[in-house]
Amino acid sequence: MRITLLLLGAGLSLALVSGAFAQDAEIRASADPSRVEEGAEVQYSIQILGSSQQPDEPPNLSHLPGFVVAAGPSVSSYFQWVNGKTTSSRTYTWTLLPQGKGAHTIPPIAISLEGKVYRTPIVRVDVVDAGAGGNPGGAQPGGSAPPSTFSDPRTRRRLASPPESPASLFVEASIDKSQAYPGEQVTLVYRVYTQYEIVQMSLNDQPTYQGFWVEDIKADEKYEAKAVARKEGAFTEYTVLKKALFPTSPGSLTIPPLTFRFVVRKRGADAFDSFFFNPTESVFRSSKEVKLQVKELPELGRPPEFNGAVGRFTLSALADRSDTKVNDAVGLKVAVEGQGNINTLGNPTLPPLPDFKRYDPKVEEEMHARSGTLVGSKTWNYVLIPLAPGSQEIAPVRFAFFDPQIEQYKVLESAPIRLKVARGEAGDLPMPSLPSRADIPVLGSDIRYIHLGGEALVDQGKTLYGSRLLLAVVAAPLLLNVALLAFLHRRERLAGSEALVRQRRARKTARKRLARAQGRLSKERSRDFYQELASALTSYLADKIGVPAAGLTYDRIEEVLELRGVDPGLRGQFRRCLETCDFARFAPAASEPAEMEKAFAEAESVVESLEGSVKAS
Amino acid sequence: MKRAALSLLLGLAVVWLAPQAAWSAQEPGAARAEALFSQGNEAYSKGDFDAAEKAYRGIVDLGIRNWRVYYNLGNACFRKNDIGSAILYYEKALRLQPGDVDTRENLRFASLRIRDRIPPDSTPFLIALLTRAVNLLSLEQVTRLFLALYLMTMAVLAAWIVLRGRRWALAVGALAGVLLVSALGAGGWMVLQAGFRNATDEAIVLSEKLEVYSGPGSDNTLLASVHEGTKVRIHARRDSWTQVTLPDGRSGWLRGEALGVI
Repeated sequence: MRITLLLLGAGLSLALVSGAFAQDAEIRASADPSRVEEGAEVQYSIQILGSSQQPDEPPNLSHLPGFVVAAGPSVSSYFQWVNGKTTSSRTYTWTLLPQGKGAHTIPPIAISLEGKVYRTPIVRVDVVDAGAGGNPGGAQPGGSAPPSTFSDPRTRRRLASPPESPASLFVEASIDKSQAYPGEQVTLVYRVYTQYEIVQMSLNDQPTYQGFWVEDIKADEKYEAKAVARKEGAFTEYTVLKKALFPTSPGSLTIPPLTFRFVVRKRGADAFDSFFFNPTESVFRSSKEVKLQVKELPELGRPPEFNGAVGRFTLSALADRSDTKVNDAVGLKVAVEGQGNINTLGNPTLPPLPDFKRYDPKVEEEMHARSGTLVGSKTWNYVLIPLAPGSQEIAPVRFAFFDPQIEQYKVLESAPIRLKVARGEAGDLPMPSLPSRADIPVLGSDIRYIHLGGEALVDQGKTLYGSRLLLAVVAAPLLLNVALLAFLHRRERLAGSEALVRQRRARKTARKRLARAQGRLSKERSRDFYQELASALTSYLADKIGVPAAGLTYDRIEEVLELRGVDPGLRGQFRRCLETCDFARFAPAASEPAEMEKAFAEAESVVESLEGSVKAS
Repeated sequence: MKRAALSLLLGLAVVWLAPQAAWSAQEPGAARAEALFSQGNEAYSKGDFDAAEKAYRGIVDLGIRNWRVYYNLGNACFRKNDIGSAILYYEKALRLQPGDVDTRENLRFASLRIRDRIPPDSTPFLIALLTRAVNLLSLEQVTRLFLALYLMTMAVLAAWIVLRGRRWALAVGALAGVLLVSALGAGGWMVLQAGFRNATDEAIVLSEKLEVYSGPGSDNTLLASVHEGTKVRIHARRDSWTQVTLPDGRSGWLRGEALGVI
């Protein structure tokens, strides 16, 4: 019992020791086959030996340069315990598609086992020309064969007979041009070349095309088969997928490889086998990546209306009627038709429509492929409400696009549309339906236009100001006036016409005398006062009419004044004034100052009145 | 009286017609200028602004200063997106024709594109009003107005001299006085206007960016940088450096070659 226990303990400890020993795992990696035809697949496996533990994370092959992972990993594990010795292995297998010819290497893949990191050895895969000898692909047990779309009986027959040379299958992606403009259609075609009979085909993953707007071009229900001769031998060509790509921006764009899964009928060595068991196998093939250079749209000649349309289009604009009423809607249908990416067409440029209310358009699109090119039409249905009556014209609608074939911009212009807008009837409109008034809309702002010719281009640098002419024109009349003054003075003096001088100075002299008389305005000197007053009056008159004062009697004065057209009232006043003076001069009693003042005022007013009414000789 | 009126009319006619007769037709460059002007207008209407600018500049190079030429040249520069030059030429046009609405409007429009924020005009209302009034007429027009008033004054004065001491003398004298006061007013206006027009103390920044230093030389402290289209006031010059006042009132020195004096 003791021994048994001891033995058991020893065995246990041995097992523990050996278990500890088995912790050191071994990692192997291999590719099968290591030499393949271009386009064929490779089975890559990583085997972990000696550890019953699962790796912390399954090995990651997502970024394997030069390969596309078509399937995997599939995992198989194996565990054996023989005579106390443990054997375990775990195998991960991937289906890889090498990209391009030449030597490819699968770099070390890190695998973490119980905290310890192991690395796989480097594995080399040689890719040779198709048909240059290689395995058609690692076999994988194929599934059942669903109804084939490849049902060309001719092909079936041809392929049913075993070909002499090793048969192959590959996928080719091609574009119809290597250079394009943004928005220009590039047709991408995937063709399958096969020497097998294909039973079924499917896409391994959904294709993504970065930097492109993609439209499918519908392929026919049945793939058309075409026999082609290539340098590798005779193949059957199927066009399996067609896409219209529209680059969105300039630059160098890459169309990534696309992986297909095919189920092909295996050629059996004996016809009986192949007839009854229909052995099939599944293979993966991927296309090569395709480069496309996208050029910039030229700056030169780019019209302002251009908003990215590339292709070849026609434009039409139609109103649904030509007669309408104010507030009665008119439909304006603007249609652009042609080849190009209809989906991304921007709105055409509508002319300013200040006399209409415009609603956002209803847009309709229609697109289909015609012999590989996408064509279609886009229609904008505008609703316009006329706001003002009269004959209105909708100016041409403009639409600009770039024609990549002639590499030029083109501007389309529709014919102008004439509309007769009648006045709306007030009766049949709801009350607040008068056309709403608005400010004249601001449709744009700019500098004012240049001045056109018409007026002489006067050199404004030479101004009248500061010129000699100005000086002359200013000085001349001044000098003339001074000369005139001097001349008149001289003439008056030379003529010696005392009378003239007297006449001109009459009023001045009279005023002086009156002032002197005013100085004597007192009771004591009343006689002198009146004397002076009388002489002021008579001498004024004498000066004015140019006669000596001595001869001026009352009657003579009367006569002279009448002759000069002085009215009788003033004549009487003059005479009364003189009489007052003479009476006072010879009266025995002195006058009162009040009386004198009255007489003075009278005399003054007579002189002023006469100044205005006595005509000069 | 009749004689006086006649001489007055004659004087006015002389004042109005003399300058035209003296300058417009006889200039040797006038015909060439007219040809260049219509050539420039043609190019402008076709959208060839380079050619238009060249033609208008040709007129300026002939030594002819005309506001229409500067205005059109400003438009051509604006179309070429040369905002600094556009503003400079609009300002030059305004110097010659201060009241022109088109030029003012385009100057305002072009000024919207200046990078530097122009502080709002802080001129007192009355001064601004007076400036506007002074700028209502161009120098040439004010000069003619002054001359007309002056000659009328002189004619009326002559009439007064003849009529001294007779009837109407007082009224004629009063009229002469009124006319004299107006003529003096117009004369003052003319002098103000000439001062405004011939001022050369304002300039427009023509380069995209111009550094302003505290002294003449780039080793001085950098105070600010001004941008294309900004108007500065010139104070002094030393070598290639110019002392200016910026629109915000600060003073500094900058390289004068990138300035366009109005």
